Amino acid sequence: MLRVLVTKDIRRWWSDRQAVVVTLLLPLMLTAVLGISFGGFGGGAPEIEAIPLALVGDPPSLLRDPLDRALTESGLFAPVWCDSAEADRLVRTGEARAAVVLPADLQDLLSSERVAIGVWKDPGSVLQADIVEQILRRMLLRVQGGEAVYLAAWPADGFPAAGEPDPFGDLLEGDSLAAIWRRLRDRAPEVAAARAKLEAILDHQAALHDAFATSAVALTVVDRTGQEAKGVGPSTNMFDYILPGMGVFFLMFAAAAAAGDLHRERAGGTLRRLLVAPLGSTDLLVGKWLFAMLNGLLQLAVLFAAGKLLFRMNLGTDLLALPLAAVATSAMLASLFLPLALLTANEKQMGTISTGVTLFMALVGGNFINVDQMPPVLQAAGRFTPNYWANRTFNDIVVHGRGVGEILPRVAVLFGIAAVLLAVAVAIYRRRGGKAGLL
Amino acid sequence: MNAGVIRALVGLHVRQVAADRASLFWLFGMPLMFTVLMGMMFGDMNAGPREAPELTVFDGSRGPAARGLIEALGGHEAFRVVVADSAGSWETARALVDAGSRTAALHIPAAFDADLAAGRTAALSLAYDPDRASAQTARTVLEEAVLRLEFLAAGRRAAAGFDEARFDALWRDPRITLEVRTLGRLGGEPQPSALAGFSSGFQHTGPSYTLMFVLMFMLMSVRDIVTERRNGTLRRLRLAAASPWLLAVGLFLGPVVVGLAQAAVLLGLNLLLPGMDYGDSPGALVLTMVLFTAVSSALALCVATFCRTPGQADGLGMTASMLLAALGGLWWPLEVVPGFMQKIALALPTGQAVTVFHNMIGRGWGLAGNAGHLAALAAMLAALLALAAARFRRLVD
Repeated sequence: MLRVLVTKDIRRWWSDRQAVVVTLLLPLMLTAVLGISFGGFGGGAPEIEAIPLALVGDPPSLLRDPLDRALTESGLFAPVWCDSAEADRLVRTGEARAAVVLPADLQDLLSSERVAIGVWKDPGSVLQADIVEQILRRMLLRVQGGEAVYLAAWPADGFPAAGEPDPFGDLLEGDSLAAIWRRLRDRAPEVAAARAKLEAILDHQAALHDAFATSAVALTVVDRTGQEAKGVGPSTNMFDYILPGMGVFFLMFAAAAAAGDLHRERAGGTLRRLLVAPLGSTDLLVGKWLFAMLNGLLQLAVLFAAGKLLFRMNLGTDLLALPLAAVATSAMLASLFLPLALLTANEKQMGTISTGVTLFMALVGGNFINVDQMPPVLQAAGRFTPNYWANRTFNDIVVHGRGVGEILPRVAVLFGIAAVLLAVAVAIYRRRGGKAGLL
Repeated sequence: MNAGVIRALVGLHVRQVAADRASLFWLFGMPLMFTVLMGMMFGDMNAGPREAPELTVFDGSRGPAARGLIEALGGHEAFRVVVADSAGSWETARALVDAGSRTAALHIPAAFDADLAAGRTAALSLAYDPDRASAQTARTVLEEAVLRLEFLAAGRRAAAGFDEARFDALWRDPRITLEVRTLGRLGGEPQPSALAGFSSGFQHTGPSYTLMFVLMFMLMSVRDIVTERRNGTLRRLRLAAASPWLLAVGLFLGPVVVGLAQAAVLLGLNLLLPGMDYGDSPGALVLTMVLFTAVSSALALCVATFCRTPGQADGLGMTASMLLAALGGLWWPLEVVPGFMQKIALALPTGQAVTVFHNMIGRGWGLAGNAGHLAALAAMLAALLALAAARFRRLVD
């Protein structure tokens, strides 16, 4: 009898093929939108567009051209040189995400003067302006460290304070080039002093260069796969994160629709006819549960197959892990909305409440944002949502390559939730008078 | 045009919505919940200190260099440093990160200080979860601390008279610095949020979820129109109203009135959230919401003309609202998506509307600055109304 009930439900579901297509296509479409937005098509590490960057300053072409080339060739930036007024306009309108304002006199960078390099950030920029700032900070840290180590090692090589001997200044003193040439030709004492100073600086630079030849610290950075990490950033195909989350999210809608079928059958009069058939006391409920589970399994199978074909998604290393998790998730979600279907008065009420519950659970349970990225209070709250356990299980398989043995505790939680909710549905069903209560 | 009929149709829709308590939850409760929760996820919500993910340090060396390294890792909002009681092994560190219980784990071997002091290369290992932002920050901070050790060691090797105190002073207070400021109306304010240009994550989520739920409520109401058509109610209304156009105007304006009331309440309540405002131009705010609500209502009417069953209406309504929200930048700021996705977003009403909000809040732009976006919304409204008009007879005949 159960087989007949489930077959009947499957036929009714299949009769509205447009709704079926939407059910199967919507998660794929949203997954594609999310994946392309954050990971590019076909997986891989996320990429960002070249950041439009305004550069303010007037360096000589000897400096400007290689800087321009280096920034462009890095692929990170699309630089534009302009004056400060234009840079201000570009940044305020969002045409440039940031502007880097070089000192008016570039010689200040090589002097003893304190110098500030300006960074103007776009007020509408969420990410790219920060990237500009972070990259500049990292580059500048090396310059700052180099200056600190050099001056701490050879303080006398720094720019002399007023009144202190200044060999280079003495050599270049005066506003006539001819005077400098004469000093050089005559091998004036200033030349010897400047030469001695230059030699000392070159010796120090060579010594420092040699000192850097040996690393002080060998830092090994290993990611969760056990591989040595290269750049900073996510290592996994973004679809591996997004697709299971979207799959579970839309499965909740499908499960709610399957449970809500009780209301449709009641409104259409078929429920009354079914109830006069020789069914066991809970056959109808179990039949709905079985249909919802099979429906969910089909949806997950289509989704993961399409994810593999279209997005090169990882399906894990253990062939049994994903099917087991899919069965456990489908069973859990099939039970989730049955009590609600029995407690609500009509399909519209059921739809409104179930959609609200689904959206809330998806938000807190980690279907939209990885639970690890949430504030701790939400992480703690997420554990009380059934979909959290499904998301975690799929994440373990797809992202971390865990096998059946490792996911079993979470699968047990999913089956546990399924059993409890099904028992609650049966209890409500019996308390409301069984078959008669459904009418 | 019979204004009385239109007024009656609008009043009927408003009363239907108001009578359904579940609708009221969808109109106001759900959007506020999303705004608050997603705002919290976007960054600091001025909600006080929260416990950051843990970076565990297994310090086998316990020497001054290791302590200095650990100190350099401290004081960051993204993660908190916890030094393990036991020295622990590298395998233990990796297992913790692998299990997901730590964002990162640093292993400092017993020989670390001795190697540094002897001028040998000292080993250091970090296990981290590259998929967590906190772990990436921890790695960056560690690399900076290691860079400092490199400079320090090179200085010691290069010059006998290397002055470590002077090095520290110059490292902490360098001569060349970055002077960073954000232009625009929020430039002078502190920016604790992940949204660099904004002072609060709510400034993105507040308007975004208001727009999303205005659109979603209308698209989910498509089911009611389809049900009314199947029940023959629309045909009867048409007979009463005499003209299909009056009926169309009524079906269009009813949701507009409800949507505007919903937007007014939500945007008003959002103002109670920390750091929330909508810029300096009430005119731009009102016009944006009027245009967006009208576009949403026209779209719902168009979708209704394509659906034959309530099931199709549910599917299409949900699909359209989710896709328009995701593609249009209501779920995340458009700046984080590739250029071609940004262009797609600006072809959608959601992308145009949320861009106006960002311009109002971040840049302080009013009607003039947003004229292009508002004109685009008006053009979309005209196109959708034309399509709805062309297909409306299918709905009532």
